[in-house]
Amino acid sequence: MPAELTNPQEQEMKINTPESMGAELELSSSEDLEKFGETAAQDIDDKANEALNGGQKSFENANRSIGLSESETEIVAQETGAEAQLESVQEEIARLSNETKKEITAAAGTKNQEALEQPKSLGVENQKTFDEIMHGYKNLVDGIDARLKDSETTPEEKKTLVRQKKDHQDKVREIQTAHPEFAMAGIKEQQQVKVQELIARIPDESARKNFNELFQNIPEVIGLKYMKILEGILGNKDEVAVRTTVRGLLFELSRIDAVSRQGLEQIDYNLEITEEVEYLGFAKNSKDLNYEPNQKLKSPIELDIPIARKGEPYVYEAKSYPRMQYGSLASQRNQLLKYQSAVEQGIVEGATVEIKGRIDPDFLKWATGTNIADAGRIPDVEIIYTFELPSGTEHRFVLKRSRKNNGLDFQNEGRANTPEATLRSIKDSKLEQYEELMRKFGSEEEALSKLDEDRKIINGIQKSVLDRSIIDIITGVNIENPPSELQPYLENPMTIKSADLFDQYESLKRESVYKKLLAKREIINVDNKRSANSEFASRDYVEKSMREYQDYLKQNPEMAKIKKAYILDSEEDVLAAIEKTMAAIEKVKSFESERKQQEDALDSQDREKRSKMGYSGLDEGVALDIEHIIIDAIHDVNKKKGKTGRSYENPERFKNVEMLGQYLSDQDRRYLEIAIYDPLSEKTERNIDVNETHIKRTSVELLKENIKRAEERVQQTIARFAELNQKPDKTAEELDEIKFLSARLRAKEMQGRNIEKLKQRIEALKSEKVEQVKAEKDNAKKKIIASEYDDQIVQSTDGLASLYKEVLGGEKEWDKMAKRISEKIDQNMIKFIYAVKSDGEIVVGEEIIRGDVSGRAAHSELAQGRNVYGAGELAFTKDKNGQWTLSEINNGSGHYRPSALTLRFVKNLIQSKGIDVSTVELRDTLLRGALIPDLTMLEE
Amino acid sequence: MDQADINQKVETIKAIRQKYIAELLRLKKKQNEIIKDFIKALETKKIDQLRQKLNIQ
Repeated sequence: MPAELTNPQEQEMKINTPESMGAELELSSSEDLEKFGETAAQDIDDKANEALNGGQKSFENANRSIGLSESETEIVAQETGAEAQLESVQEEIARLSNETKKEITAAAGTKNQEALEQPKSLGVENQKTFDEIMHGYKNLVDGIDARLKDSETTPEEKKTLVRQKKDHQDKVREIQTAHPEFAMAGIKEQQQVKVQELIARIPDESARKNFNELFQNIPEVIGLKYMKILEGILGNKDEVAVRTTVRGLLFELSRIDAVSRQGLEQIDYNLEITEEVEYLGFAKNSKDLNYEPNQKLKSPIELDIPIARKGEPYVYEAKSYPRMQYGSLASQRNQLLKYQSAVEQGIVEGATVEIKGRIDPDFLKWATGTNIADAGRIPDVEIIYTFELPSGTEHRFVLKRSRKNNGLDFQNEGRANTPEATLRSIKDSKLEQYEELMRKFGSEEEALSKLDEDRKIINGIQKSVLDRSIIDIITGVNIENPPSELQPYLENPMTIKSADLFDQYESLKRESVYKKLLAKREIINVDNKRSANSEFASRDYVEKSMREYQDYLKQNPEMAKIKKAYILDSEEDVLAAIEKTMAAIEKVKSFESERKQQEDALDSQDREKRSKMGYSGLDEGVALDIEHIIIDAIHDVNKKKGKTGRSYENPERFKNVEMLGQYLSDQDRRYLEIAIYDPLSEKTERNIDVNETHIKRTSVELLKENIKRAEERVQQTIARFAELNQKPDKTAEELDEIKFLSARLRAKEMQGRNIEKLKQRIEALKSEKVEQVKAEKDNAKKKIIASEYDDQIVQSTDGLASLYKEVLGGEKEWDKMAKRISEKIDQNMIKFIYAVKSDGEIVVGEEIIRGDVSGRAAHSELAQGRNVYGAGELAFTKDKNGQWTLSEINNGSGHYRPSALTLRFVKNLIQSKGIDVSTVELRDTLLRGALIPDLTMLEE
Repeated sequence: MDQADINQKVETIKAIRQKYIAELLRLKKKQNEIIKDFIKALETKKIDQLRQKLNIQ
């Protein structure tokens, strides 16, 4: 028998040895009794621990003199049930001890009874036990690891060892789950020391910071796993490898963080997949992957980020590939084939791979299929791509959907419609990120310009996803004019060994991708590439786009807020919108193909007329993109009760341009709007859709407010002057200030009397007004009297203001504190949207523009979704003589996006219809970057 | 609380402790039995291994 095994006889003796337990003690007070109780309870604890630890140690040491391997020992422990038996006895000891302690405390009537019942005070001891158990398992696992690495271990043994290791790890997890409070505490302690040590070794500072932050947010139990990985990474000698792998780890951690923060998916660390998955894959290490996978393979699925869907596992992997191209290795594709097979077999609910960095273009073609109807080789696996934007923030989008439309639920947080709103949202909800932006770009202005670039690039991404060019854009690296030190590495960045050079490579690569995406954003429609007559006019494409768009809105909640009208609430609505789109496409298609036949057959009069008028675009005109037909259909499906949705039917509800002369003759659209600027708060307040009376009243109120402010300022001047005067040692600046202040005070002395006089006069006018109005019986006259007095009061108040202006030191000083009307819009304008049909008819619809309120039909409705030869807005302005004249023609149609070249043609055409165009301005609304009135799914 | 009460309680606590020690002893014995059996099982396994080795050689 091994020496370590404690002799039961010995233990018995120990327990019976008389101890200083108060047997001979004469207790005389309840305090003493309490103390006695505490000592007794403590004694129980000690004895219990001794028994538990002793037993555990003996058990662990049992094999020492026998010399079986640890794994063999473990097998015996399991097979004989010794382990389970020991555990049960130990549990019994712990329970007995706790209960006895409670009994003792109750008997001693100690006040600590409650505290003792709480796990905390029991915990200290249990924690020890827990830690020891964990430690024991760790030793077992470490032993197995050592043997796994040992070259003498046979494959057969390895198999057993792996199984045992897994069993141990399961056991550990089980115990940790059962006692999370100990698990946390224990790991926390270890972590705090070790994590800080490890993190300090991460070479790049921002990664160090990120790691620290993210690490705080993951459950401690999982933290251990990442700590181990980090430790491994930091041991690598290749500094670029360290940098990129740390980033990869950060990426995975940040995905976990995002999932738990957004709460759209459930993470369950107890989740595991017990079955191995059988699938057909590529032969290991095969270089050529252009064949049908035919190797029978079988392996388990490890859940990196264990997502549970109704308790069932959902695979979610995060892959960061800054140097290597993801998907070029057989093993990488095999993993995805395994997931595909697991979905098919119902082992997992679905699978998502989120990629950041480089992707093998061949892999993407393999995965996504090469044409619209092709679902690719892994139809049930979703691929998300994480894109780094110019501001350094990320944008996530679905590169490839899963066939079942059950991809990962995620959101791009905080990205709003305008850069300003985005920055505000970051400032409000993620101060750290805001500070990071400020650090990086220096000023809000610079950050805003980066965020604006972000917005354009996101837009470009959306477009490239739609036409599938995204794959070439993100996979093709095309660095123009690379610096000479990078030249040798462009083909294979894997060979870059210097971290700085690698960063340089990455940033140039990003620039090149940004450039391509920005080019994608070009909004003029010149080639009718996705019209109802194109290859995209298929149900598959419509459905795909429809669902992608709905997902996009879900993933970008800030965007969804302003696009509420385009959110479909149910699958039923989605199907209805698809039907509607298809019907509209059919109609447009048949109209346009018939028209083309006719125009081709007869030497068309329409065409001749157009060219005479200066039309130089495509013969077929500008066609509506299918995306716009889709959003019109969505809009129509979503129409609210009592409101008409978008419809290509009933074109007779619109006017044509010839009718406008008659219509305008009795219209008046005077519109007033003012902006009030407050220099103290630096805020501007807009009063929209106001009238003259409102403006007058506002001016008076501002005047009053400003006089109040001026008085306060005078008081401040006095106080400040006194304060500075008392100071013994004055700086040069302070002396200057005193000079200025004393000049102000002198001016006050001089004007003081006049100010008082005017104030009295104003008061007198006020009371006189009240009396006079009271005395007058006739209501109409009352009003006249009141207004006469008001004019006088305003006049005097104005005078008062100019006196104060003088006292404060002139116009400049006054403007520092005076609220004022900074902007006044006074216009009499009426706007129409127009579309030029193939027969030269110009259809128009009125736009309602009153401040923030606007409303009108869509250009596509005017033209029934058919091709147009011009589209945009017509603005008429009423001149001093009350005459309406056409003042602007523009190409502002987000639906059709016609080139500005059409404007001259439209002008001529309008003129031919008897409308005066002598004072009209032609404006290119689209390229100027001005707000396009009808935002579409493609424009933000 | 008078002296008699206190003495009474001290006795109670002592009794609880005695009972506990007896129970603990029982469990410790049980624990030792388990470990002894475990060691026996380990030894058996070792012997089996050695025997196999000898047989093969």
